Amino acid sequence: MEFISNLSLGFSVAFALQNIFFCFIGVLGGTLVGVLPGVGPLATIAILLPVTFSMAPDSALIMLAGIYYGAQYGGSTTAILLNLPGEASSAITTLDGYQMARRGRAGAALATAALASFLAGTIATVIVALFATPLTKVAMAFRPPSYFSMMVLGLIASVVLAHGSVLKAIAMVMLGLLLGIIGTDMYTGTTRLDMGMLELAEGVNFVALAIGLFGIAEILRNLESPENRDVLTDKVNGLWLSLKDLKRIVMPSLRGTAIGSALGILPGGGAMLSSYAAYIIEKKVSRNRGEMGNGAIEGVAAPEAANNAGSQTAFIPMLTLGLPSNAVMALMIGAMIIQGIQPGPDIIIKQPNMFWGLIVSMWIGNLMLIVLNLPLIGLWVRFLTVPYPVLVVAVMAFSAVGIYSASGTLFSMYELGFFSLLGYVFMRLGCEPAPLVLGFILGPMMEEQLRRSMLMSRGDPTVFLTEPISLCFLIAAAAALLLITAPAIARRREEAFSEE
Amino acid sequence: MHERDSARPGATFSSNMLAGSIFLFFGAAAMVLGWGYGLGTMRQPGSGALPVVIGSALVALGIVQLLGAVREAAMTAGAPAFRRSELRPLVLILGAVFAFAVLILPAGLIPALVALIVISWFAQKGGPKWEIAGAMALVIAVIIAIFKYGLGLPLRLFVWGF
Repeated sequence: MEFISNLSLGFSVAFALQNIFFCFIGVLGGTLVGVLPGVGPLATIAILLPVTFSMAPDSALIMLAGIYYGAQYGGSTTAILLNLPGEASSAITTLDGYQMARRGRAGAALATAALASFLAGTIATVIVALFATPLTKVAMAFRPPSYFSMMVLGLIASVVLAHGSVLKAIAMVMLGLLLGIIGTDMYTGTTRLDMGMLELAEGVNFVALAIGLFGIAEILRNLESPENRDVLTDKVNGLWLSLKDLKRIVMPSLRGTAIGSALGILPGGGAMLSSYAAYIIEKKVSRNRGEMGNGAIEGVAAPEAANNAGSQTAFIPMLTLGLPSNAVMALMIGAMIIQGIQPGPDIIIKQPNMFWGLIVSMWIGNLMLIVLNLPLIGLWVRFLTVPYPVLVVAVMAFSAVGIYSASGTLFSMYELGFFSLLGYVFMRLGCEPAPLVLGFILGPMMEEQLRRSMLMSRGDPTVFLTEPISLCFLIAAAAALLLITAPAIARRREEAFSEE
Repeated sequence: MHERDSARPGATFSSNMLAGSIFLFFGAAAMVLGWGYGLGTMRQPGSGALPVVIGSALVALGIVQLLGAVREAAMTAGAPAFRRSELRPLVLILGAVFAFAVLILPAGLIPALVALIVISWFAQKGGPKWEIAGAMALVIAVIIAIFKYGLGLPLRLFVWGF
């Protein structure tokens, strides 16, 4: 049984003392940023990238992953208690969760969120483990043209799901590709687009780019519109669910898990999309759909299960194909590259410890989260009273010291300044940074596959259309692009995003 | 930045126009620079091939974006790209990073952090003034604990002395 032996390898790695420790740090940090509005998992992972430099690759990824799914737990806490989603993926939980809290059932809502998330996390771990090996085998058979076209599809998908203007999102992808190929060309030795700066010979500092675009730009946005938060419920009681409640949440949680797992795998998917889709579907099929919106327990269970499942299955394309499906996964790939690991289907063969250890750590992390969240809920709520200025100062200091210590050069500090400014300007102009980061990560890989394809086909560009797998990817990409630019759908897409 | 004429329709440099101009600028720069690296052949694309292709796509997108924005501005007063009140946090946050970069080598970690913390504290409106000392002590202690002792990185706290 390959599956069993893989999982047992994973358990042996994930249960190593240092990995348990970093998993705990990850989910603890994730819960914390999930609770705190204004600092998201994306910013946190970016800020912590320099810290992972001196860690083993498996520990680094286990910790960063913990932040991502831990934030889904934390985000639901503030959604339920404060009607304020700590994370975008928990926004939909406010609908029924906050209503439950107002009726004195905050404890039940929190317990539902935790149990649904745990169930989803457990199932999603198994799904990731099951899918990983076969998908890797499929990917191994890809030839360069198929790889190239797959990355095209991945980038188009990120455009489809970006907020706002499609044109701006495509332009951001292009900018990302350009930034990604700055530096020495591996094939010819030419230093490209360096504008005379010797420091750019090794390329743009990914950590500075990520922290600037996601960490500091995020702070600048929050400084413009400070939020005020009042804790409505100061004591939470009745964390135990009755048998009747338990029965009511089983099916919605399973449905949410299924929807979240499916949407998480899709390029461009992830936690946020999953929770919205699960809520909308639950509203159609649930036996108690009439109550939804007025504090129905199903309205908490389904989206919370979905966002947790989606945040875990999003790792599948990242780990097996080297294809990041969202910005968080792009940062994960960045972390791997920093560790000297080339993303792609051979990770599972070359880094089996990291691969299976990461997968099993997700389940362990989910177990830790349930312990961290339920009994300690009062502690987390108290963190909301941390004044925002203190948080800003902490993030700034952490970013600056992190980048400086990781690179040891002053140039990286100026890169940080440049990307903070760029991130801020783009945010004001309604250009999302996520497609740019995906382009940045995929740029060098795409160029390499393009060159291999052209060499293979002796300079015939139709190779992308004559390779069947490649053709399928390109057709899918073209269809996705046509769909979102079609006027009727474009309008509906705008409405869907404005509802958020 | 561009708020002076925001009252009249058609006279505003809207955020959509600025976005288009930025795309156009980066695209054109990539094309010009890329051209110089050589395009190579179809069989072996040179170092300049991809920058030129992506650059021209970016130029095209920039033009479409600009045209759309100009047409939009002729009909309505588009949102001005920036308001002056937003400049203070932006300048101070960037200034904090800059101050850190300038101080870290000649003065050491602690003076650089103090400068960074003080400047970014004042980037915020209405931050209670007396809390800064506590925040500073806490943040500096945590940073030193994690980076210097936890990760064992060679950071000098002060240039003089330690």
